[in-house]
Amino acid sequence: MPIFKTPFNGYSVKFSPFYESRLAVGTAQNFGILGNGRLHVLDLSPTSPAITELIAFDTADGVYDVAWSESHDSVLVAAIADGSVKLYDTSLPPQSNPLRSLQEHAREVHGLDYNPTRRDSFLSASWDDSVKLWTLDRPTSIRTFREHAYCVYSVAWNPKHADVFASASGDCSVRIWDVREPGSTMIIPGHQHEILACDWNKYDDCLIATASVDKSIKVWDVRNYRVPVTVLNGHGYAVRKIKFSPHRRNLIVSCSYDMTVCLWDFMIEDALVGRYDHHTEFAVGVDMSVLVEGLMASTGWDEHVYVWQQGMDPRAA
Amino acid sequence: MREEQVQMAVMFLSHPSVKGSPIESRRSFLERKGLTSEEINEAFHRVPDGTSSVTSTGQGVNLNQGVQLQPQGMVPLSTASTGVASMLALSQRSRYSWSHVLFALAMLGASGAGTVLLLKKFFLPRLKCWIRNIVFEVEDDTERNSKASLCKESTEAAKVAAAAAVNSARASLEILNSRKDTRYFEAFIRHLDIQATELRSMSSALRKLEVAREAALFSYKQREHPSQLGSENGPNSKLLGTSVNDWKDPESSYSSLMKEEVKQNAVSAYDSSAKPSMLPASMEPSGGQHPKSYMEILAMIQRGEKPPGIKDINDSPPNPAQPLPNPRLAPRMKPWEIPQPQNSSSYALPQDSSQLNIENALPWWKRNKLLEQQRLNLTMG
Repeated sequence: MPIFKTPFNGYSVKFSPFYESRLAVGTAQNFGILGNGRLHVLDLSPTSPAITELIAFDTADGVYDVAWSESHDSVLVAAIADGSVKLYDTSLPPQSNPLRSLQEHAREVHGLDYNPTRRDSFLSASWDDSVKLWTLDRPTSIRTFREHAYCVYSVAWNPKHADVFASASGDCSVRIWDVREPGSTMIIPGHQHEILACDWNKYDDCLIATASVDKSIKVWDVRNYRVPVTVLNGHGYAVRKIKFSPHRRNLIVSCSYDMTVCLWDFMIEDALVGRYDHHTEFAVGVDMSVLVEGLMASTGWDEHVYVWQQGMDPRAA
Repeated sequence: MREEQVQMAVMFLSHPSVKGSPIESRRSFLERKGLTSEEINEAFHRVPDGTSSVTSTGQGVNLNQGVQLQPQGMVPLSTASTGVASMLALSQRSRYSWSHVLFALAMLGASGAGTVLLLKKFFLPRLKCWIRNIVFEVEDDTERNSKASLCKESTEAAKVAAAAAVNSARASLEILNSRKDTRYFEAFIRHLDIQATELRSMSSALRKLEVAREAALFSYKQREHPSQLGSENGPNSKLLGTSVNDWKDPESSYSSLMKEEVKQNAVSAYDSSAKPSMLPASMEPSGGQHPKSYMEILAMIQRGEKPPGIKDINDSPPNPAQPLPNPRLAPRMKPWEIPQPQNSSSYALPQDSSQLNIENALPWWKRNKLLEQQRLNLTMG
C-alpha cells in the first residue's frame, strides 16, 4: 500500500464522490498552530501501487478540513484556519485558484460537510460557536446556526433527510438541526467532555455516532437519546474523527490521538474489528470511499497519507 | 371636655374584651391616653357596664399596648399578669394601692423581659454579622495577596525546574554521544523515559498557568496596544484554541516526539556518521532544517518568535467573478440509496472460476484478497 508524504502536517482527507482514484488532503504547517497550508489533490495510479499528486493549492493559513462538491466533479471546498472558506477548481491551474474566498466566520473553520443527497449546499463548523450554510453560487452564507456555547468541531448531514444535520461541539453536546426550523430540534448531551466528531449511519437514519475527548465513541438513537445504543471503548486518547461506512451498515472507522485508526462493528459484542497503527503521530483525518468498497485513507501530524483496503496492512508494499 | 375623646373612650369601654377587665385598668388606660377625669367619668357614665361582675376570663389585650413590639414570650406573661390583676380585683376592689403597685411591678417585669427578648432576637445577630463581615474582608485581602504571590512563585519554580530538567537531558544525551556504548543505551533510555514523564507533568502544569497568563496578557495588550491586535489575534486565538480545546492530551505527541528524537540521535550515534551537532533536534537554534516539535513551536509563539518557513502567500481569488465550471460527470447514486441486499458489494464481481483474470484486471486499490476470499466462501459454501 503506497504512502504519500506531505510537506506539512496532515489534517483531513476526503475521497472524491466522482472519481474512484481521487482524494483531497488538507494540511497545515507547524501542526496548524501558525503557518501556511496546502490543499493536495492526489490520484491513485491504477498500474503500480503509487499515489501521485495531481495539483496542489497553497493557502496563507492552515487547511483544517476539506470537502468535495457533490454537484461539480472538479470543485472542492477548504476550511481555512483564518476563518475563511475557499472554493477550488481542479480543472484550473493553481494561479487561477481559488474560485471564491468566503470570509464570514470570526474564528477558525474546523469542519465542513457537503450535502450528499440534495448536493447543492454545504455546512461549515467554526470555533466561533456557529455553523453556516452555503451554496456554491452565492457569495454569502444562507443561514447561520448559533446555539452552541463553545467551538463547533464537526457537522454532518443526514444521508436520508436532506434538511437534517448534526453538529458536535466543545460544549459537550450534539445538536440536531433542520434547516427549515429556526433553531435546533434536539440536543444530545452526549459526553462529559468535548465532542470532536459526529457522523450519521448511512443505512439507519436515526443512528448517530459521536467521538469525544473522553476516548470513547457513543452511538445514539435520536428517538431515545438519553441512553446510548452502545459505547465503544478502545482508544487510548481522544478520538478525533469517525465515519460510518457507506457500504456496511454497522461499520465505523475512527482515528485518534493515540496514533491508531480503528474499525468497529457496533452491533457485535467485541466491537473492535480492526486496528491500524501505521501513524507515528496524532492520526487526525480518516475517510472511507463511497465508490470503492473497503477503500480507506488516513492522514496525521506525521505528514503521511496512507491509502489501503480494509483488512490489508497500510504499510505493506 | 372633648367629645371626640369621650366618643373614643365610649367605643373603647364598649369593646367586649374591655368589658371583662377591671375598672382600675380601664381608668388608668384612659388616663394614659390623655383623657381628663371628667371625660373618663362621662364615658363611664355613657357606657352601661356591669363593672361589679368581673369575670376571670378577661384576656386584657389592651394591657399590652404599652409595650409596642410583641415577641411571642410576652403574651403568656401578659396573660399571667392580667390573670393576677383580675384575681386581685376579684378579692378586694377597695385595695387600690396594693393592686396598683402589683400591676406596676408586673408591667415593669413584662417590659424588661420584652426588651431582653428584643435584644436577643434582633440586635445581637445583626451585630455578629457586621463583625463577621469585617473580619472576612480583612482575611480575604490577605488571602488574595498571598495567592497572587504564590502563583508567581509557582510559575517561576516550574520554569526553573523545567530548565534544569532540560539541561540535565542535554547533558545525558551528550554523554551518550561521546561514549557510543550500547551497554549504557538501555539505562539511558530508561532514564530519559523517567525524565519525559516528569517533564510531561511539569509541562501540563506550566501550560495551564501559561494559558491563564496568556489570557490575562491578551486582555492587557488589548488595552495597551490596540493597533497590534490584528497580528496577535491569530496566534493567540489558535494558541488558546489549541491548548484549551481539543488537545487535552498533547502529552502523547510530546512524549512520542521526544522518543523519536532520542531514537534519531541514537541511530546517528550507532551509525557513527559523526554529525557535527550533538544536540537533539529540538535544542538546535532556530533556522535549522529539522522539524520542530509541537511544544517547541508553542514555546516559540509564546516568546513572540515566528516559526521559520512561513511564507507570505496571497490566497485571495484572482478573479472573484470566475464562473463555476460545468460539471463533466453526472452525480452517482450513493450505495445506501441503491436498493440492494446488504452483503453484496457496490461493484459487480462475476462469481466464476476465472478469479485470477478478474483480479489482475482490478487496480490495486480495488483488490482486497480478504474480502474476495470471504465472498468466495459465501458463494461456495
